Amino acid sequence: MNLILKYFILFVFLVFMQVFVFQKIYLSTYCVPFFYSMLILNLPVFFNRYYVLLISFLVGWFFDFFYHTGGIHAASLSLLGYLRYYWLKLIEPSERYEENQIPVVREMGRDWFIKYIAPLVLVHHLFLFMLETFQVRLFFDVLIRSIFSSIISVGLIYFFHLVFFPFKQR
Amino acid sequence: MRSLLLFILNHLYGLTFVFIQGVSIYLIYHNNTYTSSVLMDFSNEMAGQWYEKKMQVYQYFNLKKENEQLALLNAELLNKSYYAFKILSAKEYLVKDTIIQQEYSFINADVINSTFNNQKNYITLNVGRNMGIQRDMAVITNNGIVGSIKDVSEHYSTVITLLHRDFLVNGMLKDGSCGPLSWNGESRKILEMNDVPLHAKIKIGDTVYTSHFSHIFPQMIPIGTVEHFERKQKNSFYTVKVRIFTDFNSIKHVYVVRHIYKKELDSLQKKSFE
Repeated sequence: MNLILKYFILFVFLVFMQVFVFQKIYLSTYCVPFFYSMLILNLPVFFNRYYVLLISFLVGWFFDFFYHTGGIHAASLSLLGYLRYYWLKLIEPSERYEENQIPVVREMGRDWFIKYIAPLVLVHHLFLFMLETFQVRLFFDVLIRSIFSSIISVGLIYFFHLVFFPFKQR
Repeated sequence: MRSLLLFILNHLYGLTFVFIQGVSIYLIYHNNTYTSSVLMDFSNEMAGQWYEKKMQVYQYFNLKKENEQLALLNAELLNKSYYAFKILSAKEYLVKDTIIQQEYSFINADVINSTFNNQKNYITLNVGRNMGIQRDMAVITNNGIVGSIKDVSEHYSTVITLLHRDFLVNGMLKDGSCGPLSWNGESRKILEMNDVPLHAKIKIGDTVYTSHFSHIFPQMIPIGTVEHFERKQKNSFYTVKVRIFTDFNSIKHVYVVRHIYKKELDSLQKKSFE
């Protein structure tokens, strides 16, 4: 399938799940997963980093409209997009990335994938919740919220991405 | 000059990132100020239409419950005063009388979207400028308060709910002592009422109403009941936890309150306070 089309479908799916399903589910104040960062996380490894920044900003801004938050999602998702480049470099496995490599489980393995997404998702949530509350004295509160929400998000991203990037059938 | 260019070229990625962060922070800041900009208007309208389509689908799932609630509400309203009855039959009703003067009128509206997971929660209504909605109007249900209008477009408006960190409403206890109520971001059922004087007679279970100091809400609209109160570390005030009446999960129909003489009041106060 055409890769661009695939990412577009992924985007529509994420908007649907995030805004129409998960926005309506209340688990706890300490558990508010934002898993739409999956779109940025699953872009090809050697995708132009400037495009990654731009796309993450636009996608974040798009979600800001739904949450009436101005630019909080744009800021936090573009931070994720920025850090993704360095993090990918840092955790490059010994056998190197191939050209057109997509960072998914079927090619990179489960352990590597979790190691790849978990810190980025945590940073995304932390920055997001910090901007949302914008009070230093609530930092501990924000930290706990980010940790719990990130755990759920990582689980959801892992699950969803198996649907979109399944193992090849032999 | 050459070194500057080199610096920019070397750090282009980082600088792009900083620029994008700058744009985002500008957007965040801009969102908090009074804005009726074209963009906000447009996005509000687009999101509103989108949510209304969605609601049309969702409503089918709730039809039975809705009908029961409406029947209940109808019976209740029929038993109430003619005044309340008129509100529903005509969308906005003004009483002309020589003895009493009506200060507020009510516009009924449907909730087409709501958030409750965030630290700043909003709901969207299907009425806008076309029904005379303006910023800072109060929004209530028949058993409690909801919030106040934030942005208005032609056919839709957004509401800052009680569950918003920046929302403040002045509450009044049974004995008349007042204090501001706000949400601390934890439980969706509990508001905190601060600065209640120590001589106030508080009883657990008492109803808290909106006070006459509020410029937005009419007075004596119920907010919630006293759940718990304490004096924090030798403060000279009580902090009261209030359990709110409004259930933000199942909120469907609301009333927007229009203060008929707001313009007059505002301009008078502005004149004498300056």
